[in-house]
Amino acid sequence: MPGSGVLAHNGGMRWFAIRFALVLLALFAFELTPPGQTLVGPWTAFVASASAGLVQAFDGDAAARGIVLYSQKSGFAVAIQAGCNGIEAMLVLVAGMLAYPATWRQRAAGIAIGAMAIQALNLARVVSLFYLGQWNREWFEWAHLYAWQALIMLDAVIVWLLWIRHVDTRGAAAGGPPPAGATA
Amino acid sequence: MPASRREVLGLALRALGWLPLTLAAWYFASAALAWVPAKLAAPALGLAGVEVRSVTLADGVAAFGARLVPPYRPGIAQVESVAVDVDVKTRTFTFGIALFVALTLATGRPWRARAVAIGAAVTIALPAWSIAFDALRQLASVAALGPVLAWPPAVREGIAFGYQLGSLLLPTLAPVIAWIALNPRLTRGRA
Repeated sequence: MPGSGVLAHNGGMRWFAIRFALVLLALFAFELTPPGQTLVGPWTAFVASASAGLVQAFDGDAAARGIVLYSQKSGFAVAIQAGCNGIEAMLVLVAGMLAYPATWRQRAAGIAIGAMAIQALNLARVVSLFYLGQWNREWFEWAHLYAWQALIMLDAVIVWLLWIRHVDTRGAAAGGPPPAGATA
Repeated sequence: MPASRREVLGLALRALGWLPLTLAAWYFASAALAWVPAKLAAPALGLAGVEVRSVTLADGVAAFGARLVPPYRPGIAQVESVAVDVDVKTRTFTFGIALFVALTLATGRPWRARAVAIGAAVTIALPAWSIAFDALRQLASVAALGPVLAWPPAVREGIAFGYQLGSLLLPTLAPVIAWIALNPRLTRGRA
C-alpha cells in the first residue's frame, strides 16, 4: 500500500499480503494433514459437546456423540464437519495477526481473544442451526451454507481490524514502529 | 491511524444490516452470476485433461459435459476416451459477492467506482477455482475413471487440496481480501 504507516514501514501491503498468504497456506495445509486432523477431530467433538451443553442449559433436549449433535426428542441430528468448527476462520485470523507487524505478546493476546470471539459465534451458529434444522430445512440450508459462513468470516475480519488498531495505538504511544524482530 | 474502534464497530453493524439484503439479492441473481465462473472453469478443467464440450446452467447448478482423453503412455495399451457429465452446485461458491457488496455498502462513500467494479469482478470470477476443483474432485472419486484419468498420487493430492481451499476458504476469504485491498485506509498504520 502506498503511503505511510506500519505496513509501509515494514515493506508495505505487498509484503503483508505475501506473508499472510504463505502463513495461511502453511496452516491450512497442516490442518489437512494427518497430524492436523488429530487436533481437528477432538476439537470438533468438543464443539459438538459444548453446543449440546449450551442447548441443555435451555431445554435439555440435545446430546452429543462425537461430532454429531442430536435432539433426543425429534431425532434430528447435525454433524459438525470441516468448515463448521470455526477452525478455518481462526486460521485466517492467526495468519493475519502473524503477518502484521506486532510484538509476539500482542499477537498471542490477539490470537487468544480472537479465537474466543470466533468460537463463541461458532457456538451460536451450531445451536441456531440445530433449532433451525428442526423448524425448516430450507432455511437451515440457507443459513448453513451462506449466511453463517459470511458471518463467521465477518467476525474474524472485524476482530482483526480492532486488533491492528490496538497494536498501532500501542505502538504509537511507545513512539515508534515495533521492532523488526517482531515481524513474522 | 487505522480505522478507530468506534468506526470499526459501526462498520460491523452496518455490514450486518446490509448482509441479509445482499444475500437475498445474490440468491435471486445467483443463477446468472454463476455463468462467468462456470465458463472460466471449463478451460481450467482442460489443463487437467478434461475436455469440456458443453456447459449448461440450471437453478445454480453448472453441468459440464466433458470427454476424458487418456494421456498417451508408451508401452501401455491406449484406453478409450470416455464421455462424462459432472454437476457442480455453484451457489456454495458464489455467495462471497454478497459479503463483498455488504462490506462495501457498510464502508460508505466515497465509493471508487473502478475499485468496486474490480472487487466485484474478482469475487464473481474467483469461484471458477472452486467450481473447477469440485468437478475434478468428483471425477477423481470415481474409481472406474482411474485408468482413463491416469492422475498420479501427487495430482490427486493437489486436487484434494485445491478443493478444500476452494470450498472452505476462498468463498468467504476472497471478498474480504478484495474489500480490504480496496479500502487501505482501514488498515493504514501509524505514520
